[in-house]
Amino acid sequence: MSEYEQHNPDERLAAELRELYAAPRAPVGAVDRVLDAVRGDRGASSRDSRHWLSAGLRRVSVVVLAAAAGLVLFAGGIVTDRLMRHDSPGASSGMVAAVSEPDSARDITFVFAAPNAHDVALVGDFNGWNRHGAKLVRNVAGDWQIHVRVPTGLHMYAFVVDGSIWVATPLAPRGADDDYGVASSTILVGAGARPAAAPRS
Amino acid sequence: MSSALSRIIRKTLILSALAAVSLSAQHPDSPPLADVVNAKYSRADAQAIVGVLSEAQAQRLPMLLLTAKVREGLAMNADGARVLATVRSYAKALGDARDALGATANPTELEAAAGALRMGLPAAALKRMRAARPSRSLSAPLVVAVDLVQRGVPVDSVSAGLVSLLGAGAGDSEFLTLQSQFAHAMMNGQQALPAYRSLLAAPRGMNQSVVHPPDMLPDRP
Repeated sequence: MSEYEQHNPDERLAAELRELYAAPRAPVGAVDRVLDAVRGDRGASSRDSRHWLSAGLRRVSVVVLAAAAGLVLFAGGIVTDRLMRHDSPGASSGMVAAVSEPDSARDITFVFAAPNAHDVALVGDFNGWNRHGAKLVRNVAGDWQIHVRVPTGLHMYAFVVDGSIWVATPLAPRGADDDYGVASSTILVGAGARPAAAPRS
Repeated sequence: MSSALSRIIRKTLILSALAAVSLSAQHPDSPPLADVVNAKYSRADAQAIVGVLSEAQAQRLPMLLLTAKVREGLAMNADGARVLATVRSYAKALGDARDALGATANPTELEAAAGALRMGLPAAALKRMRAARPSRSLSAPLVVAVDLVQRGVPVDSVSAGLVSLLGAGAGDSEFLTLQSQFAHAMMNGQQALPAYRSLLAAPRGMNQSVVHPPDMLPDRP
């Protein structure tokens, strides 16, 4: 933790979150289980996707980064009010929400580690589950990344890899339902627990 | 009346009804839900989906949540029957959640509570949670409850444990940390129930030693 972070409560909090959620690495077996589950769920995937699974997924060693991102988003949603008061531009790790419009939406950075993927999209209830609308791009670290403005509240999301493989983040809170046969993750953004000042209906 | 004219009238009615129920819940970046549903599903399925949405709207349930569920099904190429069953189940769960948490529950709480109900938590457990935390949101605890059940903790253990934590005054940060530690335990191959019990048995404070943001969420009205 830097001296700046030590003297800045918001940065200190963000640093603590980064330490908590960015550090873990999933055991190899655990990653394989997740990938096997993905393979099973998407048995009808495209040929390219199957190739990606068989040749590439076993080399994905940092998929957990996406889970870490999801968890930070979950926790970050809770702490964004604190960050907001200081007009924080967001965590330097790019994994914690930045804030611009209190009570309505948050700018959130989603990060997904899949070095062998050719294409990654973010889908969720906040973008109509539109797999063509939120394409991630590679960042300098080689991870897939996207900034999305997400309304405050509880949201479900997943990543779509190479156009057909839906992946939930292993460590993030899981969604309540997989009504359509695909697991999803949960984020609770910002004032998700606020009273009905801004009803979503 | 000719069958063609009848078809046109019915189609128009479906489109009108769907447009009406989804107008206020339209995602700005998405095509009109009415167009998509009508184009993709049979007339019978479209009518039935419209019926569920209309009834939910009459009950003043959060329409954005329900239309998002329809869009989710569309995006995942679910057939009409499955979308219908899902939306119907979800609408019922939202209504039950409101009954359990009270009319002042906000949409986020209702969404989380509906998820918990659909995962098997009884309505009585939601009521106990509300009683244990009457003036603040249950969104975060309910999200954690869903995650715990999804990862294999029996429903009864989840509800008992979380009600106990709420009764002890645990804040959202403690629930978040519990979820995080439990998820890591699962990734490390531990058994769900023993890991959960172990985390619950840890002295309060142990579960929040790393991240302890203050409880900043405002009180409910």
